[in-house]
Amino acid sequence: MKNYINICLVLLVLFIFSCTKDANVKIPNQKPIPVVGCFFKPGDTLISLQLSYSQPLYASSPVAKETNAFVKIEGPLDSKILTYNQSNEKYEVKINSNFFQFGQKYSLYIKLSNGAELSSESIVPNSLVSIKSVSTQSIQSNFGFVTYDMFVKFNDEPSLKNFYSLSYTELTKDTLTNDTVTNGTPFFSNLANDNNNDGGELTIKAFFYNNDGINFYGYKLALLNCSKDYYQYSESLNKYNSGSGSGNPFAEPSFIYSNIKNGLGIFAAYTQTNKIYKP
Amino acid sequence: MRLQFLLLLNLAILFASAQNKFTISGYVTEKGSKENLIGVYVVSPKLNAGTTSNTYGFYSITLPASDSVELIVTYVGYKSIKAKIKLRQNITQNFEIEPNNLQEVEVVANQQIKISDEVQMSSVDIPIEQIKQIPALLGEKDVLKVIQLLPGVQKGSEGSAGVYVRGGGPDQNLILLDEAPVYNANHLFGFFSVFNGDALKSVELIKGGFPARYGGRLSSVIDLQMKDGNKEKIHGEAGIGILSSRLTLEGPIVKNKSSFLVSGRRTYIDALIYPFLPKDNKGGYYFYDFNAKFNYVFNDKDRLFVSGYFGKDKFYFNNKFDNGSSKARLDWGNATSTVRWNHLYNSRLFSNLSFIFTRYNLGISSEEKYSSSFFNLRYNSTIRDFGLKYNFDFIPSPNHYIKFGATTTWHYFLPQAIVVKTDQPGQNVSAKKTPYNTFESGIFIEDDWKITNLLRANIGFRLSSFNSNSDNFFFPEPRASLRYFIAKNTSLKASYALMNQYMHLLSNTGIGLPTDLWVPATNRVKPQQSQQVALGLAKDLEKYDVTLSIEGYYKWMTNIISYKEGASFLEIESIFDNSPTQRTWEDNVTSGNGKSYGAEFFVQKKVGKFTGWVGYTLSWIKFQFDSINFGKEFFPRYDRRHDISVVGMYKINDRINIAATWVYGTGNAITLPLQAYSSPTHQIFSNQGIFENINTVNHYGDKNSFRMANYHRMDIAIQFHKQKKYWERVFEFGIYNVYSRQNPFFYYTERDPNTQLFKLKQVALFPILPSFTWTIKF
Repeated sequence: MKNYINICLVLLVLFIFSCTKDANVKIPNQKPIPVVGCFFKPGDTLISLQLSYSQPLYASSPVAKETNAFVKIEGPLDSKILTYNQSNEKYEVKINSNFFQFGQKYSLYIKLSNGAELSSESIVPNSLVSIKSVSTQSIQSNFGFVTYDMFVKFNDEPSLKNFYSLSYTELTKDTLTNDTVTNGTPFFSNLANDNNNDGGELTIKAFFYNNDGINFYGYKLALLNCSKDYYQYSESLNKYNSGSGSGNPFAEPSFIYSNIKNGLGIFAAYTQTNKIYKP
Repeated sequence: MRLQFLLLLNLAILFASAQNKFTISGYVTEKGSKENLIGVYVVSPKLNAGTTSNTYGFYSITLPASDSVELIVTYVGYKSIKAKIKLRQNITQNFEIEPNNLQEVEVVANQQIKISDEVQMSSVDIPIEQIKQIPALLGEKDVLKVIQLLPGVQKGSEGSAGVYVRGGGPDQNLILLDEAPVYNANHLFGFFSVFNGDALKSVELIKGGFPARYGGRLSSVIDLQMKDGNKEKIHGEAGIGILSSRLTLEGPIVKNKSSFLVSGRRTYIDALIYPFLPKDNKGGYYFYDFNAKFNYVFNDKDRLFVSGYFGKDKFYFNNKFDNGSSKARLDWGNATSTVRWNHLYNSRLFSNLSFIFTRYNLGISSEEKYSSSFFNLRYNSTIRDFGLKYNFDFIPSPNHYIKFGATTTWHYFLPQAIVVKTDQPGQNVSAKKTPYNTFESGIFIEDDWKITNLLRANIGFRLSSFNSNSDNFFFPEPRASLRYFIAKNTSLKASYALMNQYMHLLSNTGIGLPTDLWVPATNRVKPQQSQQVALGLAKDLEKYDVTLSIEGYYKWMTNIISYKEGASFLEIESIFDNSPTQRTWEDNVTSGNGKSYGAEFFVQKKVGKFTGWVGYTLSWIKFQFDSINFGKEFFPRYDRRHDISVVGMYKINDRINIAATWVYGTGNAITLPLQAYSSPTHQIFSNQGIFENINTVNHYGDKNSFRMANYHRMDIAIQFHKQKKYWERVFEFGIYNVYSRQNPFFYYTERDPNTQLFKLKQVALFPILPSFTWTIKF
């Protein structure tokens, strides 16, 4: 009987402490992929584009810098060549404030130093969108604390497929200068589109905790009328950050949208309306 | 109305043509136990007419009047018998056939039932005795794992009892135990199924060409029948294995009229390791299951069957601290019950009325006690059915076998309920999501129709409906199967089936965890639907007692569901959120379409000293969801290009038999992080478009674009039988994974501290594992 128990224990240990080893499989796509980032809106006086490379996870690869790429952005009336700025490691060019115009398509062309070509395009939305109203509603949780939903209302431009994004950040008052100060990175992008409500009143719901700190002033809201590329990219980033990017091993993998042909990243246009809101 | 008229007209013609004929009907049972036998072939060779016994052993054959009709009763694994019957009136004739323990091939006038003759395609039945010979993980004989060895069927992952049929998920299998659906057929997270082979009489898998009597799932029917119990003498079987012990008893209550069967098994690793655990930290796991059946023969026309199953898995941990204690539990289990009443209206009309109950429950609890405080949490998820089914078999002539009936089921879904109790009354929570009460109903008719000597068809039609709180669905479901002889013992087959499924399983692991949630179809998450066409060739090689089938299939699926990207079953519903805009499970899932196509090759030898089969499947499965993978098609995890199974059993003599299996499959399709990069973003609240890279994200390529290593494994087993004075002893020694292949169970990434590069690591579960079981039969 004792031997039998010992056998069972050995088997149990084998079962629980299963074998782990390096996987002997071929992993695809282990060459660095160029990554592009460029956002623009009407009124900008500087185009700034980031060009970098992804890092393969399983293959040794030096961090590549691309300082000699040919980068061109072309609009309906003009085109601009961007040059590499050593100080901030970005490709930049100064432009007139009317270079980016509402409703126009802009194209990106990049030729890398190794001869590879990247391209993309994005359309600037037709208009700015104005915020009609902002309201809040308190939510009593089962655990006793209170949170708030913020409802930002605006009208959709009819007969067009529109996409919106709301960002907001906390404002505090500088005790020395009495100026309001934007406090860090914007909260999560809250997205909406006019599916099933073309031309109607749209509402974006946001969420915040009650801030009763002594320097708290309010919230700065930015309502973006964005291109479809911008919307899809932001949506995929939100899913990533709340899902597989949050470290939850049970979350379904989230894929980051890209509109860069032969690369990763985003080239996207938007328009922006700001508003200060004091709850 | 027109359809009704045509049906009545057809029935009237059938009656008229049967006027100069008489019917022989009765039951076919096993000699020595009076166990009803399913699928026994009763044939009149001279008249070229035959029939098979139904689920309850009943047969009926109507033949021209004659002074001497020869009937042959034949069944694989049993000695065939011949009978000469004077047929001048309707006759009740029961048959008892004797098991052919020597497994010798006995062919009586070439009247063994043939695969080339059957209309039903995409169907396999496996004798329970074969299942008991096939080697198994830790010696635990498992019906579902044997089903995984058939072509067109894939397993989810190493050791898992999950069944994936022709591109369908585990939720798309209708698993019936004595007609009661079993919602979670897994013990120990899927490593073993809940079905105890000692209590089973038969198992049949249908992958396509579904007869109209089945409905409610898209991909397969796994129909398991429990033994009725020996009506002549007490019989028992007891076994001890590494993982569990089991005991089965069956016998007469009133000889030849009534019998019972009880069968149970339980694991005991928890009891064995208990003394070795620290006094203040006790934990363990066990599962048990229990089957019981009772039947009573009132007279030649009425029979009653009552059967039930109850099983449970439980993990538990008990800890004691200096100033308190904690307890945690995870338990899940099924309970089913079926009451069936057979009534014979006349020799050609058989009926069965069933009352069916089934329930699956998952519970998680945690209790913590400290000197002056406590915290108790209880989570619960349930699905429960009450069903009523009334089916008829009408056999007007050897050329028609008509089945019709109606069924209705009340489904109760409680996806999630949670209760929290603490010493702080303000923090107590009792959150119960609104349960769903739904009704699923169906009526069907099908006719197995011998149109000519060469052409036979099973034409059927089912109307199904589903009603929930405010959503109603109603669908017609045509079914058809055809068989046409192109040569002796060689036939072409074709089938079409449209299926609807009114419930979904929320699962993001796909391996059948008990945490998977059953939910009903709603207005937002529509019922799943599939259409499948199949074309095949079946051939009997009589000289070698071998059957061969080749089938190609194409299946379309709509409204299949998946978790949205980023969603997790850990936060499927905001259960603590009482706001009107709270998130529900419907917000976390998305619907899409799928298609599956491929070819299956199957060679099987059922009789003789050497038995077994070889199966090969070449298949593709593709899903498309608008909101997953940016709308592009992708392979689901269990897409498997090649799948091979080889199963062989050899009876050396009366005392020794050996068996071996070898399986090979293309690796699962999974999503792997391939690259990392800083996701571009921009500073919205500055005046200029200056970026700020705020987080590093992974690039995965396309969804499920990475293939795990191919899977292959060999198992062997040898059984030694010895007849003692009062019992038979069987000792089995088996080896799982003979050459200790390290098949990947899952992969994970780990950063090398020296190179800072990630390494892909694989975890393999079972190396070479010996097992033994000791069984006595008395």
